[in-house]
Amino acid sequence: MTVLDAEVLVIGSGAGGATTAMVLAEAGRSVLVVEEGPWVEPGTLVPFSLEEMARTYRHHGSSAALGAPPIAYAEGRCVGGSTEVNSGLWHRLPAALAEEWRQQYGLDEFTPSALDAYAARIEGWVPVHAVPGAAPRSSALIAEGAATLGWRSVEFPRAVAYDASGRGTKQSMLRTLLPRAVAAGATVMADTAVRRLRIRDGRVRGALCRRTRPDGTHDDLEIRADHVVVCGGAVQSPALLQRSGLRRGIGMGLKMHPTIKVAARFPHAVDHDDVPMHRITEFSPQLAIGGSASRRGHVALALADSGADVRGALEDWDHVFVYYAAIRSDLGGRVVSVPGLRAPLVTYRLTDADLSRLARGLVHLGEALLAAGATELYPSVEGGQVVRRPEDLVRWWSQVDRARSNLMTVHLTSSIRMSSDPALAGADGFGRVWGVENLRVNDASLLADAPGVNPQAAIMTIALRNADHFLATT
Amino acid sequence: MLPIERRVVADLTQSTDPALRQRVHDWVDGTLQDMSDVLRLGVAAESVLFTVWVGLRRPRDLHGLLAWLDRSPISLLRSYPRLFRSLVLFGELELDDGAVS
Repeated sequence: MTVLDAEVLVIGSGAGGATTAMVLAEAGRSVLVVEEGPWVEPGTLVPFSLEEMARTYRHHGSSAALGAPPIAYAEGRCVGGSTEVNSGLWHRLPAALAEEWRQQYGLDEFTPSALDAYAARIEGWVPVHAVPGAAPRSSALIAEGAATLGWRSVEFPRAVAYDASGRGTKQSMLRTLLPRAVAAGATVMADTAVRRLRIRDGRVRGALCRRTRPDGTHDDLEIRADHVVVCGGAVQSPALLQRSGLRRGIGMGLKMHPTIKVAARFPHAVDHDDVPMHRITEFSPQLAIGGSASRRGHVALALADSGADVRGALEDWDHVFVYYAAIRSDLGGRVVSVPGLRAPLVTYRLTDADLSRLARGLVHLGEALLAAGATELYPSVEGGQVVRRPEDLVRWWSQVDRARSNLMTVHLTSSIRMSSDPALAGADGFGRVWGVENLRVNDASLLADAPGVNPQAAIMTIALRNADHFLATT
Repeated sequence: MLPIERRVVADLTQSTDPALRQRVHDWVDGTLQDMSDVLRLGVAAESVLFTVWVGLRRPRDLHGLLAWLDRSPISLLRSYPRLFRSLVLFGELELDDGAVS
């Protein structure tokens, strides 16, 4: 077994891990980042393509939380994590949520103004811009539908840099913070999975890892470290801590944004190259309405979800685009590492009120799309009514149920929450795991709840706050 | 993939192009291999069950099985053809060289 030493071992290289690594490395700390997934040069894969799913998503993008109904989810598994595969939409943590979480969990340095200052620093490192000029048609349709109905909508900026010709380049971690971390002396080790942490006498001593060589063979490593920061995301981080013998407050309270979709057919062609940046915010934060990746394969899947005869719509696929309604849910789920299994068991519970909220979201989504000129709406509900007129939308209310709804999500959070009260959470107010003084978590797991918006900005903001705290206290 | 899974994939693949059919097969196979243990075990258990079901019936009617599963009131049973149909549909459209992305 190869033995390596590091002052700080950062496990995971996504939004939380990259932020942690860069801040600590630029402060002069010796940082080693290990990432389970491969290093894939940005720009070499077509966004949202099958090849991207196969190479950079965990489980080829075919993960699911068990429950009634089950909820499909996707996680990035590559250097840069989910920032390499998401849409890059940028939403600061809403001030009302920050204040609510601060009070509920007794969090210091968590006022909206304090978090805004951290977010501003992040935005100085990661370019965040609105689309120059007019938004793509697929996005503008959301705004048009909302305007017709008198609803609020917003064009959100994204972590995208635009050149003079208007061509955008997503500012993922591999394009922004990780190169800075490396320039400051950090090492990034790809294809290296952490099997478990070595914890003794209330301190973490390091990690046992398995690196996969290019030829597919394996190399076992022990990485000894003074400090370990776990940043594997809301599913993998709790699973690792559980495999390492830590279970109190770990893996409970997983949250996500359960999402239901509609494939909308228009009388005109729609662009399919990008994800819409407009969102209907009329019902926020409990309900968000927006657009999804809509390559031909995605369109076909969304159409097929209804179970209706979709041959005509599929032949006309360049007139079809996929939109969604996503909710904040009442209950939550669990991540459980089961001995003998490679992947953790993920479960999620929806209440009847959650299902009602999804139905309401689906109906509002349908109203907006018909107002925007859609002529046919195919809901992701087995046997769901294909709607062509507003008066038919009412049928969806009774069709969204546990047996027939096809739900998914791409946002998972809150499986190791922060609190100053150890009875409330697995980590203290700055991400230190209770009971292990030199072990921290610094990723989506720490969010107190699913924020109702893309969480990347919130994850990075909190990660910067916690990294600053690390530097101030160690 | 288990034998019945290969048959389901072959049955659901629309293309007559052998190369594309093979790519779709490989994509589904890779996805099943990479699936989380719990989900893969569940799919495999259903596959074994349906292998027995098809084996006991004459003729060995895979089409009939998939149609029966599609109509089942049990969502877990309906999810079996839906999973394969989704993987095949997505793979076939995305792997088709002539497809517009």
